[in-house]
This record gives sequence, C-alpha cells and structure tokens, in this order.
Amino acid sequence: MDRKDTSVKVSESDFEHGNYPYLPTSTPLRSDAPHHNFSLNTQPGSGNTHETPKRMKLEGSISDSFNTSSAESIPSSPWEWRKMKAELISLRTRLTHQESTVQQLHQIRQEMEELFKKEKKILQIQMNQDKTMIKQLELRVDVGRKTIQESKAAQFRAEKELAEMKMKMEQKIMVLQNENAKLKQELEMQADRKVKPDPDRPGIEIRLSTCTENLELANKRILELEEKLREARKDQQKYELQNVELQALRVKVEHFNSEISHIEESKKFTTRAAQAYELEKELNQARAMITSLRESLKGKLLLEEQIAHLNCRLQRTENLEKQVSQLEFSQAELLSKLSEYEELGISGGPSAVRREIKSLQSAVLDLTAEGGELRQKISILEKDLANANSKVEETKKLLTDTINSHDRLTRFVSRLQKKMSLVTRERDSYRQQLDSYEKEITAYHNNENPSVSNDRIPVLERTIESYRELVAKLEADIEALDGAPHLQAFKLLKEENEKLKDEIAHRALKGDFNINTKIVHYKLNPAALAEQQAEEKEKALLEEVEQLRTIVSSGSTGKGPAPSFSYHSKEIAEIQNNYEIKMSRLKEAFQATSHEYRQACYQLTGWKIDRTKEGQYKLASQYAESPGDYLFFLVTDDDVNMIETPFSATLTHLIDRYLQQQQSVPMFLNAVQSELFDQQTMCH
Amino acid sequence: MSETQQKTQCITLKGSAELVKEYLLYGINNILYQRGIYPPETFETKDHFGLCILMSVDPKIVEFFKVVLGQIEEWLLQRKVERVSLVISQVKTKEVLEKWDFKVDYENGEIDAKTIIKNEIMPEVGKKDLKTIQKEIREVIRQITATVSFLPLLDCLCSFDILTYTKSDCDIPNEWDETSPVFIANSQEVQLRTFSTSLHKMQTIVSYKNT
Repeated sequence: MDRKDTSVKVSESDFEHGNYPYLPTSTPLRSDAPHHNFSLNTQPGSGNTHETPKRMKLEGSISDSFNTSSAESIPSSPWEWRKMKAELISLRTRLTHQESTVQQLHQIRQEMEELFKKEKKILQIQMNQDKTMIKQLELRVDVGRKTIQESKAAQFRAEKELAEMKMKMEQKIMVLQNENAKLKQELEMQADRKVKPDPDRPGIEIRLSTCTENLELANKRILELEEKLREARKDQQKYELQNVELQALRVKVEHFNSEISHIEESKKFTTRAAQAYELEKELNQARAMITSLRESLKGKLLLEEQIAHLNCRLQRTENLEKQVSQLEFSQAELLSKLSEYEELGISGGPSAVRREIKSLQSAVLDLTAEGGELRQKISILEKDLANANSKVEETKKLLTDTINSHDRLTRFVSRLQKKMSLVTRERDSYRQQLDSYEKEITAYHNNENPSVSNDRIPVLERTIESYRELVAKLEADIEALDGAPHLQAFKLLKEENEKLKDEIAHRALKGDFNINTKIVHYKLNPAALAEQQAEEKEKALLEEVEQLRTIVSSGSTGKGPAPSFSYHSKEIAEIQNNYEIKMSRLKEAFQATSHEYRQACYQLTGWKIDRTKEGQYKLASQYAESPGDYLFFLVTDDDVNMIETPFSATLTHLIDRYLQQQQSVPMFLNAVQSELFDQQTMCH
Repeated sequence: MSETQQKTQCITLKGSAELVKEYLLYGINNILYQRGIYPPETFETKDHFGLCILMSVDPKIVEFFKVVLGQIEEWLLQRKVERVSLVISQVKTKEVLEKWDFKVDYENGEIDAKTIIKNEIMPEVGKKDLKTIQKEIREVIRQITATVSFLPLLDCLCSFDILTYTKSDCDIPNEWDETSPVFIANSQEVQLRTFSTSLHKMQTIVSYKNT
C-alpha cells in the first residue's frame, strides 16, 4: 500500500500522480497564486519547485537584480538614484508581500497535511474494518468447509448404509435363491418321488405352492426395497445439490455484503471530496472578498473624512440659515409694529409718542385717584345697605308677632261670642221659668181658698197622732204576748223540723216508705217465676243426683240393668250431634275439594267431565262452539267405548285415525281439542 | 173516670195516668235492655217519644207488664200509688242488686180520694203542654240509658220484680200479694230528672250496691 507511506515531505512527483484524490484541488491553488504580484519576477517553472529552493531562487533573483542593476550602470544622476531607491523600496514591499503569501501558502499546506492525516486515520480505520471483515469471511469459509466435510461424511455414511443395505439385500436374495434352489431340488425330488409314491405328492405340492408364494412375496419385497434404495439415492443427490447451491448462495451473500460496504465507503469518499472542493472554492472567494473589502475599507476611510468635513460645513451653513430666518422674522415683526404705529396716526415719531404717553399717564393717574374715591363711596354705601337689611328683618319679626297675636285675639273673640250666646240663652230660659212661676203663683192664689186648707191640716194631724198611739198600744200588746222563751222554742222546733225533713228525704232516697202504705206486687212476677224455675231445676238435679247415686251403688255391685237416664240420652244426643256435624263438615269439604278438582281438570285439560251414570262420562270441550257439542264415553275396567253423539258424528276422520287405527282415546281427545281451538282462533 | 174533657190544651187525670204508665213501660223496658236482664235478641226497637226504645217481645214479660201496669194505672187514677219500684235481684241468692224507684207525687194538693170517687168536685185538668211533658219524659229515659256508664256490671243470672207502694186502704186483687220492702245494704243512690204532667210528678231514683 503506497498510501501509507505518504508524509509531509511528499515529492512533487507524488503530487503529480493521479492516485491522490486531492491533487486536482492543489493544482488550481498553484494556478491562482500568479494573481499575486510575487509571481511576476519568479520563473514560471518555479511554481512547481519545492519551498526551500523557491526561497533561494527568490533571494537569488533579488540579489541578481541588484547585481545586474549595479553591474549595468552606476547611477549617473541623482534622479536615477532616486528612481533606483524607489524601485528598491517597491521591491522590498513586494518582497514582504511575497513572504506573507508564502506564509499563507505554508498554512494552507499545513491544513492540507492535517486533512491528509485525518484521511489516513479514516483509511486505517477502514483497513481495520476490512481486516475484521476478512477474518469473519475466513471464519465463514471455515464453517462452510466444515459443513461440506460434514455433508461429505453424511454422504459417506449414507453410501455406507446403502452398501450395507445392498449387501443385506443381496444376502437375502442369496438366501432366498438358495431356498429357491433347495425348493427346486426338493421339487425335483418330489417329482422323482412323485413317480414312485403317489401319496406324498399333494403335501409336496402344497409345500411347493407355499414356497413359491413365499418366493414371490420375497421377490416383491426385494423390488420394493430396491425402489426405496433408488429413492434414497435420489434424495441424497438432491441433498448434495442443495448443499452446493447453499454454499454458492452464501458466497454470493458475502460478495454482496462486501460490495455494499464498498459502495457505502465510496459514497462517503465522494461526498467528502465534493465538500472539500466546495470548501476550497469558498476559500478562494473569501480571499478575493477580503482583498476587495480591504481596498474598499481604505476608500471608505477617505470618504468618511470627507463626510465629516462636509457635515461640519453643513452645520455651519444651517446655523447661518437659522439666524437668517430669525432675523427675517424679527424684521417682519418690527415692520408690522411699525405699520401699526403708523396706523395709530402718531406721525410725530417717538417724541410725539413720548408726549402722548406722558399725557396718557397723567390721565391714568387722575383716573386711578377717581377710582379710589369711588371705591370709598361704595364701601360706605354697602355698610348703609347692611344696616338697612338688619332693620328690615327686625321689622319682619315684629310683623309676624303681631299677626300671631292678632290670630289669638280673633279666636278669643269668637269663643267669647259663643259664651255670650249661651249665656243669653240661659238668661232667656230663666226668664221663661220665672214667668211660668209667676203665672202659677197667680193661678194658685186665684184657685185655692187658703182658709179651707188651714182648717184641714190640724184635723189630719190629730188623726195621725191617734194612729200613732194605736200602734204603740199594739206593739206593747205584742211584746206582752211574745215572750223570749217562746221564740227560742219556735226556733228549735223549726230546726228540728228541717232536720227531720232532710232525714225523710234521705230515707225516701234510700227506699224508705210510709209505714201506712202497703207494698204489693204481682204474684207471677218474673223474679218469682225465675226463682220457681231455679228451684224446680235444683229439685230435678237433686233427684237426678239421688238416682245416680243409687245407680252407682247398684253398678258397683253389678245388680240389675242401669235405668235410662236423661244424662245418658243427652250424651247420646250430643254424640249424635257431633257426628252429624262432622259428617256435614266432611261433606262440605268433599264438595269443596271435588269442585276444585273438577275446576282444575277443566282448566288444565280443557274438558268438562261429568259423570252421568256409573261408568258413563260426558265430555264437553272448553272450545266447543255450542254447549250441545259433547262426547259420551262408557268407561269400564278393561276398555273405553265412545257412544255416538251429534257432535261425534262430525268427527269421523278423527275417529278413524285415532280410535280405529291407533286406538288411543287421549290422542283423539287432543286432536279434537286442537281442531276446536284452531277453529276458535280462526274465527277470532 | 167518666168525665174526660177533650181539650187540646188540657190534660186530664186519665191522660196523665196513661202517660205515667207509658213512661213506666218504656223506662222499665229500657232498663231491662240496658242492664242486660234478658238477652238482647228478645228486644225490638220501637219509636216512641221521638226515641228509639228497645221493647221486650217475650210474651211472658209483655203479659206481665200489661197486667201490672194496667193495675198501676188504675191506682194512679185513684191516687193510691205512692211509688213503684223495679227490683233487680240475683236469682240464686235472691240478693237485691239494684232498685229503681219511681216516686209519684200528686200535685193538686191533698184531695181525698173518696171525694174524687164521689165526683164531688170537678175532674182535674192539667195545663201543661203534651209536647213539653214528652220532652221531659224523653230526657229522663235518656238519663236512664246514660246510667249504664256508672252502674256496676250484672254478671250473674238476674230477674226483676215490680213492687207497688200503695195506700193502706187500697183494695188488692187476687193475683196480687203483699210483700216486704226491699233494701240494699251499703247502697248508693242517684236521683235522675223529675218530670211532671202537672197532675203527677214522677221522681226517678236508682240505687245500687256500692262495691
């Protein structure tokens, strides 16, 4: 691998080799280099020379130029000296430029070297990967070999087995052939024998037949086995072919894998190469850009200075312009003022104006003095006004007071007037009364005779006195008659009387009665009757008890028949009653259960079954069209017979089918029922 | 009484006696039912005095009332009766458990019965309205019904008798008998309302054994 040996000191010949992929990029670099000025004095071939010789040449050239210049002509004139000097300076500057370019080139070369290193590393890594790949492939090859060996061994074994099988089969065939030979011999023997002893022949024949059969079977088997062998061989061949194909496929797979890896690598390389090419292009562009920018920068600085200068000037001119405008403005103002003044008509100029002003000022002074006087007057007037207002308010208050008092007085007056009217009325009434009295008095005096009344009074007084005396006398008499003890006795008696009355009332309440009264009652009153009955009952019971006692005594001794007792008969009656009750209850229960049973039968089967006579049953369906549709059955211990009814006459097909053919009454009934049901539902 | 004036607003002695008899009949029947002396199925409701009263239909009892009350009515006319008492007694022991006293007062003073018989004076006439009398009777019967709430329960076989307290000069029929007065030991009395026909004043008292 010659790539490995690449180093920093690569010879130019190496560069010129087409093997190296980066070479095309380096050549344009060299071609670009002549853009700089340094290439002007260098030989065109020196571009391809190595670094150190180039320097040497450069120096050489410079010295040569010096030498030549010095050698050609000694400077004849100072102008020529200056020119020389200028050339020298320019040459030095060129030299410095060239050195810098050389340094740049060195840097580029270093970068390139770094790139080469990186590439080398990548290639080494790739080499390692390839090595591992090779190893893996070798391993696979080994594995393939092994599998081939194994398959060979298997084939060998199979062949061996085949041989063995063949051997075995041959042996068997041999055995069978031997047997066949034997049998043939025997057959011959038998044939020989056959001539002589006839009786042995059939057995031998039988044996022969069996042997031949066996032989045939064996032959068949041999054939089968041979076929199997062929098949096995075919299979083996197929297997080998498949193995070969497998190996070929593996090889192909490996080949494809390697190709794929190669393709990927190449892809990577091409992409990288493209990128590098682009980068170099960009680099060149950037350099060009940098130079242009530098030049432009220089121009720009100049321009900036100019701009600054111009700006200063501009500011100055602007300031001037502003001043000019201000001045113009002030001039215009002044002119307007002037015109105003001129309009005022003070044509006298400033002196006249001054005069005017003075006069005006004096006038103002006068006016201010007048104003002060007037103000004083106003203040005085205001004070007067306030005083007058206060007075007005006072007078108003007084007015309201007077109005109130006036109201009160008017009310008072009205009241007094009312009182007056009342008083006048009273006075009138009194007057009337007085008048009436006077009238009465006059009338009385006119009617009565005063002497008569005077005579009567004493007479009446006398009679009164006499009455009084009488009363006194009578009281005295009463006192004489009614003594104190009498009164007390009277009181006591009264109290006693009351007590006794209370007692009597109490007694009456308790049921007491007058002794003189007779107490009677009806003889046949219910109480008496009840008592009588009770007594009779008691008597009867007692008698019965006696009788029972005698019976008990006689019963214990066992003499004579027991007489009939009411008790006995009663007991019997009771028992009879009980039994009757029981019977009735049982009947009720039976009826209830039988009814329930019949109802259940009717609801469940749909047949209403009535027992008309012994063994005769009438069946009416739930779905019957009319109540007249019923069937009649005679049921005995052995069989069931149907008796013809109008309804059964319509069921001949069912009778034929179920009763005569199948002889099943339940099925017949079911069929009838289903038919009726169908009819009903159809109708509905 | 031959003379009976039939005036709408008046009530004669006979009428009064009949009213009293009716009162006794219904009152006693009511008591018999309420006190459970006889089984309730032997009673029937009858509308009277504006009240539904249960009357016994037992022929024996009906007959008994007919006789006894007829006699009492007669005596009432003769002013012979002082009181009628219904005695409820236990059949077995003859112990008196309850006594209903119907005390009769004659309101028109003490007129001798003989004078009435001799028709020496005009027949008596009451001035009370029939409706008011009936109302009073109704109220008393209601009270009798109400007494069941406080009277003790009669839990044994009982029977009843009607005793009539008559004046000593009264004639006694053959079927009647004199008997002794009845007392209840340790008794409790309750006086019921009094009603009056303006000729007869009827006072009802119930006395029962205080337990």
